[in-house]
Order: sequence, then C-alpha cells, then structure tokens
Amino acid sequence: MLKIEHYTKRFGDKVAVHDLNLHIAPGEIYGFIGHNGAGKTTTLKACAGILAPDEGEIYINGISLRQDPMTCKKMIAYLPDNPELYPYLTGIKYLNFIADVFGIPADTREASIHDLAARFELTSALAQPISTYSHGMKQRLALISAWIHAPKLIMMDEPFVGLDPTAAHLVKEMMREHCDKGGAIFFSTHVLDVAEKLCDKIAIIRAGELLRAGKTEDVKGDESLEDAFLDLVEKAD
Amino acid sequence: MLKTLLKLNFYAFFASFGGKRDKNGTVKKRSSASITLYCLLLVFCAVTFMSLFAGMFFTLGSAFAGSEYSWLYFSLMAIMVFLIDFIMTIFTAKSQLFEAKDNETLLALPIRPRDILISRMMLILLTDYLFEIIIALPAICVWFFLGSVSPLGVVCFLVMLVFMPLLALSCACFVAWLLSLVSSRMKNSAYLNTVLSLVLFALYMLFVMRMENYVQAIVANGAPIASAVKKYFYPFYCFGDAAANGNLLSCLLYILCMILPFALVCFILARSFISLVTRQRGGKQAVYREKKLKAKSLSATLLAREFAHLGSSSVYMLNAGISLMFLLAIAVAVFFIPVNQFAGLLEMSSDTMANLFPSIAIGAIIFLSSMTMFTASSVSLEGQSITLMQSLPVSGRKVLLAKLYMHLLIVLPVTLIASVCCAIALPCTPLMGVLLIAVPALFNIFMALFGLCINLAMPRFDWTNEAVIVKQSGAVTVTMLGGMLAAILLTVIAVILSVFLLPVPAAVALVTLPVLAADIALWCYLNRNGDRVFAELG
Repeated sequence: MLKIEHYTKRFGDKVAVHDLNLHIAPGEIYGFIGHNGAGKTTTLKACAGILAPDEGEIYINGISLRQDPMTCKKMIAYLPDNPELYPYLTGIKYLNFIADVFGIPADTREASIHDLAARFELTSALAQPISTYSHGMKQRLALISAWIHAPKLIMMDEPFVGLDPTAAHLVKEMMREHCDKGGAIFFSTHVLDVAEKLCDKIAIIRAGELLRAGKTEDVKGDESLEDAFLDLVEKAD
Repeated sequence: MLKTLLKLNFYAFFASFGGKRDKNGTVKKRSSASITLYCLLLVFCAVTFMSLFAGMFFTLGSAFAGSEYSWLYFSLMAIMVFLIDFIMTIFTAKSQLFEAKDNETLLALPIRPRDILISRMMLILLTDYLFEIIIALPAICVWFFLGSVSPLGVVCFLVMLVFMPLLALSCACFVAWLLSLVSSRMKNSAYLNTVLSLVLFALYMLFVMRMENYVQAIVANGAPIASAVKKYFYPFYCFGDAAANGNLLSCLLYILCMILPFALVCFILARSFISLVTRQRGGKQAVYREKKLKAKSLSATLLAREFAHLGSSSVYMLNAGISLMFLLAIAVAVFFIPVNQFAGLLEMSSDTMANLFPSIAIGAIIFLSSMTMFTASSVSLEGQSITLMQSLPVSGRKVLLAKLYMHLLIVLPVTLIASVCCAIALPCTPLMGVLLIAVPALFNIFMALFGLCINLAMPRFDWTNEAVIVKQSGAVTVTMLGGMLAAILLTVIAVILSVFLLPVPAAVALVTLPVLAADIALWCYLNRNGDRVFAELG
C-alpha cells in the first residue's frame, strides 16, 4: 500500500530524514515512533505529497507519488498534528468542500457525513464556523474529513492529541475497522501504550535514521514498548 | 508590569515591519534598500498631507491672525486632529483591544486587565500622535510665518499637544467597545465592519473633498462659528484660547477635559474587558439539522471557498476592493460632468470631444483598477492552511485559477458599469465606445494575473493578522505600484501618440496591445507552471 524507498530529506545543511525504507501492506496499522524532531512529520508530509523528497521514491499502491501525485492523493487521507482547517467555513461546508474535491456523489456524501458526524458526536456543531471550534472539535472534524472518501491509506500525525477518551476510543476502533476492510494506517504517536496495543507493526526513528522496524512483538521483544524504545535510543546515543 | 507589556507590544509592532520567515523557519531580514524605500514612501505621504494642511491653515490664519477670533484658528486645528484621530483609529482600536490573539494568554497570567488594556491603548496613541504631527506641525509653522506668536501660547500649545489625542483615543476605544459588544452577538460581523468602514471612509473623503469649501465658509462666517465653538465645543475653545493668548487657566481646563474622559473610558473598559474578550462569538450558536447536500464541480467548490474567505473578512474586502467604490462613484459622477462647458472653454470640435473625454475616462478607470488587490493577497492569505490544499488531490493550477476568477467576477462587472456609464454620459464615437469597454476589461485581466504572479513570487504565510498581508505585504505593494505605473505609462503614451502621430482610437488601441500580450503571457505562465509553483509554496 505504501512503499518508502531510500527517502532522504534535507533542510539546508540539516538532514531531516536519511535513506528511510518502509513498506506498509494492506490491512496493517503501522506506528511511527520517535523523539520530537526525529523526522516523523517530515516523512508523513512527504507521503502526503506536501514535501518533495530530495532523494528516493514513495509509492502509493504501486504508483509513484512523484510521477502521478493526483492519483496517489485520491487514494490517501492525511491528518496533520495541528489541523489548519479553514476557519471561515462552517463544519458542514468544510466537509462538503472535501467531498467536492474527492468528487463524492451527493447522496453518498450525505449518508457518509451524517453517519461519521454522529459517531464523532459533532452533528449539532456542524452549522458553526470552524473558527469557534475547540482543538478537539477541529481534530474530530479533520478525522471525519479523512474518512469521508473511504481512502485506501490513512496517514495521521499524532491523531490522539486533543481527543477526549470517548473520541480516542472511537478512532482506535475505526482504525481497526479500516484495516480489516483492506485499508492501511500509518500514524505517528508519542503514546507508546496505544502504539503497543494498536499497531501491527512499528518503526522507530531517531535523528532521521530508522533504528528498528517490524512487527510490534519483534520490535519490543520481551520488554514493554516503552523500555524497548528507551533502550534503543540510549544505545544509539 | 505595564512597562513589560509596552515593550512586548512595541516589539510586536516593529516586528510586523521586519523580515519574513522562509521555508526552513529562518528569518530573512529586510534589505536596507527596501527599508529606505519604505521610509521614503512614508515621508512622501507625510509631506503631501502636511502641504495640503499648510495651504488650508494659511487661508484660516490670514483671516483670523491678529483678530479677536485668533483662538478659532487653533480651535479648528484641535477639532481637525480630534476628527482625523477618531476616524482613523476606531477599527485599529477594535482589533488591537478586543480581538488580539494573545488576550487569553495574557489574561491567564498574573496581569491586571487594566494593564493589558492600557498597554494596547498606548500603541494606538502612538498612531494618534503621528496624525497629530501631520496636522499640528503645518498649523504652528503657518502661525509663526504670519507673525502672531505669543511665547506663553507656544508653551501652552506644546504642552497641550501631549494630551490632545487622549479625547479622540477615548472616543475611539469607547466606540470600538460598543462595536465589539454588538458584533459579539452577531453571526457574521464582517459585513457590519465593512459597512461601517465604508461609511467612515465616505465621510473622510467628503471632508477632504469639501475642505476648501468648509474653510471658505469658516472664513466668511468667523463670528457665528466662533460663538458656536465657544458654546458647544468648550474644550476646543480652551485649546484655542491657551494657544493663541497664552491663557494658563484655559490650558489647564483643556488638559483636564482630555484626561477625565480617558480615565473614565479606561475604567469602563477595564471592568468589562475579561467578559468581552472571552465571550463566545456569534451570539446564539446555530445547531445543524441534517439536510440535503449539494455536490459541486471542483472549480465551483474552489471558487465558493474563495468567496467564503472574502465574505468572512472585512479587512480583506475593504483593502483589496476599496477602489471599486471609486469606480462606482465615477459611474455616477460622469453624468454630472459639464462636458459641453469644458469643450466650449477649450474651443473643441465635437470630434475632438468624442475622442478626448472617453480617453480620459479610460485612463481614470484603469488607474483605479490598478488598486484592486484580491489576487495580490489571496495566495498569502492561505496562511498555514496551504498545506491542507497541497495534501488534497487538487491541481495547484485550479486553485490559482479560482483566485483569478474571483477577482474577475468582482471587478469586471463594476468596471463594465463604470465603462458603460462613461460611454452613455460622454460624447463618444462607436469605436471609442468599444475601446472604453474593452481596454479597462483587458487591463483588469492583466491586474488579476499580475497580482497573482507577484503573490506567487512573494508569498508570506507566517502572519498572525490578515491586515498585515492585505495592507502592507510586499506582494500588494509591488502589484499596486506596478499597476499604477503601468496605468500611467499607458495613458501618457496614448496621449503622446495621439497628439503627434495617430488618431486617438488608433493610439488607444495600439497601447492596449502590450496589455493583451501581457495577459496572454501571464495566462500561459500560470497554466504551464501553476501546479509546480503551488506545490512549492509554504
């Protein structure tokens, strides 16, 4: 579903990500773990087609993101850590806008929006401008917009930040449902407990270098994920 | 604490003139050339306005200096400072005091609301002092020139200048407070702000345009006006009396009249500051009821997004589209131009008239069109949410075209109205009538494309207030100056060609060719490079 091959990104002299290789198969929830500034957001942005790689290739469902970005973007949804939604639109207008962008027919979008809004308990707030939303509400609206067009691959940067326990639980459920239907999820998180319980596979990145990647059980071994992560980082230091 | 807040506010104020942040987060400082250019522009504006006021004060001074109504000269100056300060700072006061993004952050700190309020008011006071200097400096210079100086009067004048803007500041802050109260209960306050701004702007323009008449009326009716000022505007009489006659008691009374309302306004505003800035905007919250949703094409939805953004921001609407008001004013005013009188005075033939007046109208329309700045600020106004659009499966070219179409859909109908009115009201050959409609339309297409390309070359996404982008961004400045220069050049070349070489319609058509060529070239550039340039933004 997502293939990252020899991805390198530099900002001036600083190498943000160096020669990263990751393969995410359909049906997998893939967690991406690392310290602040490790290169997680840079990688996710590159996979979303926002940051062009300096070296390497990214493939979505076998299609090169560099060569055919439009086809790739139609198959994915990207949720940034701090969703910058349009404050001048109401929630429903924003969702309708996203549906228009993905060319979802009117009747399908209606059912999909109303169902997702009800699940995220955001229905009544949809008439209000996004500028009046709290961070959690924006996050829920962004999550609805990510699921609205039934993407094959969903990429999320810290999706649980700002969500209340009910919404966080719902997101975890939906992530699993999505993968059970053959989709894939690639997300970054600092909440190692969640990653340990939720992810099929995990990648640990430090200072732009991939330290370890694989099945969750293999990455953590006999330890907890937290201990495994701290050990790995300590060794790398 | 107040000192710390003042430092913070002044730092933020000067930082807004500073460099911009690039893609890697490093701040690029403005070059010394651009700072010099900026300063020269400011000095030019200040000198222009000072000259205007000096001429007016000379007329007033010549009438009143040495007479028993010499105080009226200074009273009128004080009234003028009050009006200009008040009109110019109402909306600044509203945004600075009650809509600042860091209000809640500061209120969470152990800082008294009064200190936050006063620190922000001091910044507005600085603007007031700037306007005061532009009016008071020519006034005192003219008074010196006319030789009616009283040393004690000058001392009183200088002392009172320090307190003078306090009354206008108090009134502006109070009105801003009322506006904030009203708009906090409204669903869409952008339209209220736009209408009020337009009313104030119209009042200001009316005042400036009729200033000469007012001055003549004041000179002719000095005695009754002096009596009215003394009776109904006593503080301003005190100012005049103290400055002209050196009356210390009047000086003290005037200072008191400035300080008391300021203290009262500070007291009232400080008491309701927290509740006002933390109030939930938009009055009663709308509740969504499930309804039929309509699907739109991608182009239509992108265009609708541009219009939604425009409709939500009075700053964007006003600053980018203010010249449309002037175009509509031309459409009306053209019916009142005594064309035949001019023609008679200049001894013109009807043929010359039918070519000359439409040419002047074309020059005026394209000059005003060069001030519409929708596309020139639209890319920067995407702000941090530019990444959202970049992550969606949307061609960057289509996003840019939506911005272009919004500009044209707003500007072209207004220009067409102005052109058609000119074609009807002015003597016009059929050929000149066609040119009168076609040339401004082509020039507007050029301005829309030019603004968009300049904004793509000079984007800025690190703003915290839209006003910074719409009013003082590099893209807007370059587009406006470039557009004005183009309009002036085209008009001058057309005039030279028509005087020495060609018939007027041929000259106008000839100078339109480069505009057409520029339209085609910029359109091709956007279509070829739109996707790439948009993807690289941010």
